Amino acid sequence: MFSCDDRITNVGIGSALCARPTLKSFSFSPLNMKHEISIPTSHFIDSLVSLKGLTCLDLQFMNL
Amino acid sequence: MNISNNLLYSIAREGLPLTRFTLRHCFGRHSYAGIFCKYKCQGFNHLDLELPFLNDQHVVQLSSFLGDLMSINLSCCLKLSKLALYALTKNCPLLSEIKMEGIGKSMSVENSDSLVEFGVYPQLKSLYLGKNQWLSDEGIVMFASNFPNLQLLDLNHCNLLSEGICQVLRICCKIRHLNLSYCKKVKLHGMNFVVPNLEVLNLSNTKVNDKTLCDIKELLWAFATIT
Repeated sequence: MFSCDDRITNVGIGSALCARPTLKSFSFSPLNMKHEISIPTSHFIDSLVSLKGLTCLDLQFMNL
Repeated sequence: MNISNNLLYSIAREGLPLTRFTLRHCFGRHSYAGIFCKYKCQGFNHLDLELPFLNDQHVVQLSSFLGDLMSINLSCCLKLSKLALYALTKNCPLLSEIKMEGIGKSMSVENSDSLVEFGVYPQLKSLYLGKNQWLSDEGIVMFASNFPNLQLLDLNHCNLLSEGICQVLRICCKIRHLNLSYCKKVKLHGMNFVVPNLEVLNLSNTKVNDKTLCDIKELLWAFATIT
């Protein structure tokens, strides 16, 4: 579960997800809608959809 | 397709085994409902879509692909009306919990004939309609007729409600939890019958007075909690 401040980036989240391929639940909310992390990059997306056992996903304040 | 579209398309295309999915206060140019319809994402048991741009058309489309849905939260979706509520209960046979707090004003009961045609949906057990200040006595009685097996009914801050609540309790005799807090017209003067299953009754900031409260206590289950 991440409620991000401005020191966490898309790259960091993507890398963390890759390190936990069996993750089942992921909750993510940027600090605010202006934060660059509110727009998911391709690395973030690829990392997320590589979680083949993900059953719970919670995204808030994202620019989708 | 831009980056933003990619995320939802990718989730749908990869077929992740999501059973619980939450999108709250997200924004962007595209219709999430359309995306999920396109890929026929099934398997969701719990959906939480607090997205102000969602309209009835989105929910109607989406509901036809949600055969496994058990609970949904569409609170704060200002463009929704009763059509969305009925589409969900009609198309989702396992749906037992609906939250639609603070939705649009167009949900009023303007045509009771159409509600009769809508029918009875006994599978719905929990209904949260708080903060809908347009909800009338006539409207909530209609809903009670449509959903007679309700066990939880949350109507906090529904300021138009008054004595219709008594009729709701007659119809929905399985109600265990009723929240009427901040329903400022509710007096419960017509409650002169036993409500055997009620366990929790929230009457804070209503017009219920001491005498009515004393009378009501006699009609509730011995261990019911009143606040």
